[in-house]
Amino acid sequence: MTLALKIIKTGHVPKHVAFIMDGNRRYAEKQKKAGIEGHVEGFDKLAETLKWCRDLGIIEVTVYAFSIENFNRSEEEVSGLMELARDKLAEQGICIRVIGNLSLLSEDMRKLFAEAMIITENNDKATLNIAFSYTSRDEITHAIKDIAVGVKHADILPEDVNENLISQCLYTYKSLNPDLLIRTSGEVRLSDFLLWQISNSCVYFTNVLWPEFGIWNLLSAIFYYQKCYSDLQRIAKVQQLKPIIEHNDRTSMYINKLHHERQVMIENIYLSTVQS
Amino acid sequence: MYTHILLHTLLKLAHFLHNVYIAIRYACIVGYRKCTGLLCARTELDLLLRMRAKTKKIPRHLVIVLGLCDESVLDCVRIIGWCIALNIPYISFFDRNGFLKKNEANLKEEFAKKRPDLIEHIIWNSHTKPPSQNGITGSKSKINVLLLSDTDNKGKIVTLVQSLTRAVSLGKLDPEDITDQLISEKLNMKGLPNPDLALIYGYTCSTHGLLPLHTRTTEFLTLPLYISISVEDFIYLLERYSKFVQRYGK
Repeated sequence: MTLALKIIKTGHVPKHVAFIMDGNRRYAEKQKKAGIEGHVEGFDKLAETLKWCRDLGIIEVTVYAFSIENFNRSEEEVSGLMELARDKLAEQGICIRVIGNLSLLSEDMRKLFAEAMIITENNDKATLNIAFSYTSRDEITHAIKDIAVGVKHADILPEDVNENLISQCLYTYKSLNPDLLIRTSGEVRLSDFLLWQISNSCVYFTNVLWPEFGIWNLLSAIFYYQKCYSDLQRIAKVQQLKPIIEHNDRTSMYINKLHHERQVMIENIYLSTVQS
Repeated sequence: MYTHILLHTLLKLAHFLHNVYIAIRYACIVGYRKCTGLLCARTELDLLLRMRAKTKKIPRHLVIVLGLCDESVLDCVRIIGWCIALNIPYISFFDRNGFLKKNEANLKEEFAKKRPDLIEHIIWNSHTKPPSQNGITGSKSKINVLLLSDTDNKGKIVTLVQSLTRAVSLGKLDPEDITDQLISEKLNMKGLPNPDLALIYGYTCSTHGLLPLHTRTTEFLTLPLYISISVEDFIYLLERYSKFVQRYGK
């Protein structure tokens, strides 16, 4: 296994990998266990996968935890994830970011997330983005709303709107787009996950259920990515031929202001936790 | 240093062997099909009609994502013919750089040349008249053929945001009134359903930026890369699609 990992590492390794961690419940059913146990094993698998990613030199991972539609799932799952984030990941120098619509969460959960983000924000060994109460549609709608507010306050003009501006207003503005997206459990849908960001990404579907996902599955996905690499480069080159629209000063100022406001919002939630 | 070179050579070898394995597999499949084709002598239409008879779930809107540079107009002509046989009411061809849009006249000409019998079943690049209920009718119904490029994807969202923000700057719209329903309505392609199935034809499984706001439940499958797209692969993928169950987060 170590040899295989070393061999794969000599080729192109994606910098940013996104996962749709699907199949926890089906795994529990298959093992005749309670649903929650499937999720517990799913969390353990996440910790393990992050370690493999770091061994391989993947510096950023984005995981799809639960989308808004799945939001009626138990809060126990959420606290499990956050425990994992706090106890295991923070110590390893991993920066945690939660991407999603935090306004839909309960106050307690918002505080948990804000705490994890602020405590780990200066960690620079690797980044874990946790998509929570997230859908692409909601993300794009929010970006459009923010842009509309910017226009209303005369920070920007309608003619300043372009693809770059929308990308900068998404929840994922701090990250580069994923190079590789992996979905487990044999489903071949993207289920409203990062649909804007994965235009140039390689997508890898695997039949294995998330708790059964092993290092060989990850290596296979990267092997596939490497096979696609030259094609992906060709696509990127064609895209680069198109005129690049640079932000003007007005737009840059607006983007900085928006990012600052978002940061302040997280800090305020965190401060309310510390004070209470 | 030497270890790195050795390991990298092993990786190259693994990639090479994998490519050889795939090439042999494809060759075997093609050979097998040729043999069975000689024995059974079934036409493309026979195969399609058999599939239509036994499959309950057919996509309403099929998208072919062309990820290659050398998009073949002839392949598109054949696929449109297959979709008509299967009564698929909407078919879109998406290539990022708008090759097909630029060659629309050429595509129409080729279609008229190759399939003059089917020309009256096609509505090109317009979808104002939805065809009969989910297309499963006795006689051949009309098919809507759409050609998509980058401008119909993120480009369309950018144009929409520009027009929404113009309305905001004129005081005709409040940012709070912008909801996902409003955006869906504005982006709604005149009754065109969201794609049910996207077949990717290229080296890489990628959305290539296909309709980010319309593909959340779209199933993505890849067509194998032969010299040209074969009807057997097309049928195989549609049969796979017919077995998919959407769980909607359950």
